Amino acid sequence: MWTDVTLKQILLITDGCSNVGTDPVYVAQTAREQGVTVSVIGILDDGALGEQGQREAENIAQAGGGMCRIVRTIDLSHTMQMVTQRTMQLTLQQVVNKELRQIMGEDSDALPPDVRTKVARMVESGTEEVDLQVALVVDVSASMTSKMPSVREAIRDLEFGLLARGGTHRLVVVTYPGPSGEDAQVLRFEGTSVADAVGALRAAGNTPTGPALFLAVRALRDLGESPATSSVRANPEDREEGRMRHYVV
Amino acid sequence: MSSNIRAETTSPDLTQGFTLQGRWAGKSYCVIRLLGSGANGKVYLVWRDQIKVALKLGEDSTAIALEYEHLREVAEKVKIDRIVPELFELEDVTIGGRTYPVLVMEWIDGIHVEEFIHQRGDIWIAVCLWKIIRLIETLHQQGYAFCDVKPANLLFELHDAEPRLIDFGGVTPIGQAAREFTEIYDRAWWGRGSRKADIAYDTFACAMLGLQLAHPIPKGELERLQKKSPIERSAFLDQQLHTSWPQDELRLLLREPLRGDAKLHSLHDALIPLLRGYLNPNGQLKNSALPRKRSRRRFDATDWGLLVSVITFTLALCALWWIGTL
Ligand SMILES: Nc1ncnc2c1ncn2[C@@H]1O[C@H](COP(=O)(O)OP(=O)(O)OP(=O)(O)O)[C@@H](O)[C@H]1O
Repeated sequence: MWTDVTLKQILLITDGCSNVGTDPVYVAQTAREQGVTVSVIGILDDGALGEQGQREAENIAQAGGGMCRIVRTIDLSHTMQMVTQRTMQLTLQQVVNKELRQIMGEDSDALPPDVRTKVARMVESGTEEVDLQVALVVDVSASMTSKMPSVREAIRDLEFGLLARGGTHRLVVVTYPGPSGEDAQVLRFEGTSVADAVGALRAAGNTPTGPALFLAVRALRDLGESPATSSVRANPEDREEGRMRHYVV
Repeated sequence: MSSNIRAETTSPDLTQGFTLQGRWAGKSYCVIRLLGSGANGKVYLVWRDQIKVALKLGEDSTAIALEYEHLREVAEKVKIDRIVPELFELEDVTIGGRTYPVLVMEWIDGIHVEEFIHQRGDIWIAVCLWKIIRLIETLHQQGYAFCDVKPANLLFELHDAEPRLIDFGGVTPIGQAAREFTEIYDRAWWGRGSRKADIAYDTFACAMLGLQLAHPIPKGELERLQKKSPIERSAFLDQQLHTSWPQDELRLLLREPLRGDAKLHSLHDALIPLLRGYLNPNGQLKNSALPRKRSRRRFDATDWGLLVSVITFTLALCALWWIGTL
């Protein structure tokens, strides 16, 4: 059921508030219209997030149809995993809900428990099997400097999680502001992990969140046209069996 | 670290006597007290008819429905009693105009493993670990990995000191990606393998549980490791495994399963000689192995301190006397 489905998400990681360029809430809205979900993780410790930043984070996520979590650096890794996973669930749930509404005029939340568990199962198998494209948009302005090692390891950790899935995945990282005055850049990397490229960053400058999100949307669109690199898959027999188990509903 | 590493839920706090009305099965539940809370919700002890049951009040209806499904599916396959908490119903309740998903299950009247060991003494670490492993092996036999092995997901029942698994939200068919895990019990975080749910993944987590019980890694170290790469974390783990512990046999035995690719039954088998070592030929716990309270051991340390100071004092007196005789 899910094998031809590709989900696209943007995950914004910031400890501040945007101060130049297009309104990020607007960009998130347009991303959503193009089928890309935008979620936000706001980092609390010694940053410039403040009330304004938190509100902006919530608004971006709301406009982008994703979720917003405000956490401490130490919780970053786990939160990134959780947000990616839950956003996948949410998006798949919406797909299922849409069909349900057509068939029986109801959302899954209004369904009796026995039907709802079946829906939940479909969603669960989806999170394992769909092809996933994630753009991480990472704020590297000055206040993030001390958090960069944690961000790098959290990205590596996210890759471990993606690698273990059955479906394919692509991961791009956009950092902002760019190193030589531009708004944002897509990280190029060689070797096995994009996390290693994150280590080499220099944090500085403005906070052009909107333009960075815009670049991420474009990067995801470009990905759509190139073939996905397959992640390490379990041996095919295992997979088949796993899938069958799931569809016996 | 394990519990505060996640953002807790914002599901409402309920006070004693508050009554919830199920929407589908029509039961009502009267709150007795809060049992605990986690990432997926708050768990309350409630009256359901005349029995006390545990009620998990969640927010995300998919997550609660899935936990219910995992519990139901595992219970259906594992025909042995008391592996899975008995399942009552999946429900919706309305509180203050909002609907929340609810999972009603058996109440397990027990204590967490740290407290259990604190009460009975460190010698119980190996025993507990062995019992936990047996429990998880039954899941493996049905093709599932538990994945989220950690103290918060285990309770030792008060009446028979047997462990019970409580949070089935992380149960995953072997071969798929682990969906719920906690960094310090996660093989991939330590650079010791993938995050695929397989037997060795649980083996690692069980061995890490043994390590955390016998020779816990200080919280500050864990926070420091958060910024390090898996390779560096792995090196740190090696170092932990190469300095001696109060229970050194346990350290030697956990080295292999913490490599990340060991079978669970090899850890199970490795524990047996250790457990046997605790028994004398009559099958009773040896005197030296009798459960000691930690408080007792602290006295021992104080006693040593006292002895040393007495000796120092005497020596000082002798020295004074000797100087006097000069
Ligand atoms: N059936 C039960 N009987 C007694 N206590 C329980 C039961 N289920 C849960 N608890 C208590 O509630 C706490 C939280 O439950 P649980 O771990 O299921 O929640 P969670 O939201 O899934 O948490 P986690 O963050 O660990 O995933 C447990 O640590 C335990 O103390």
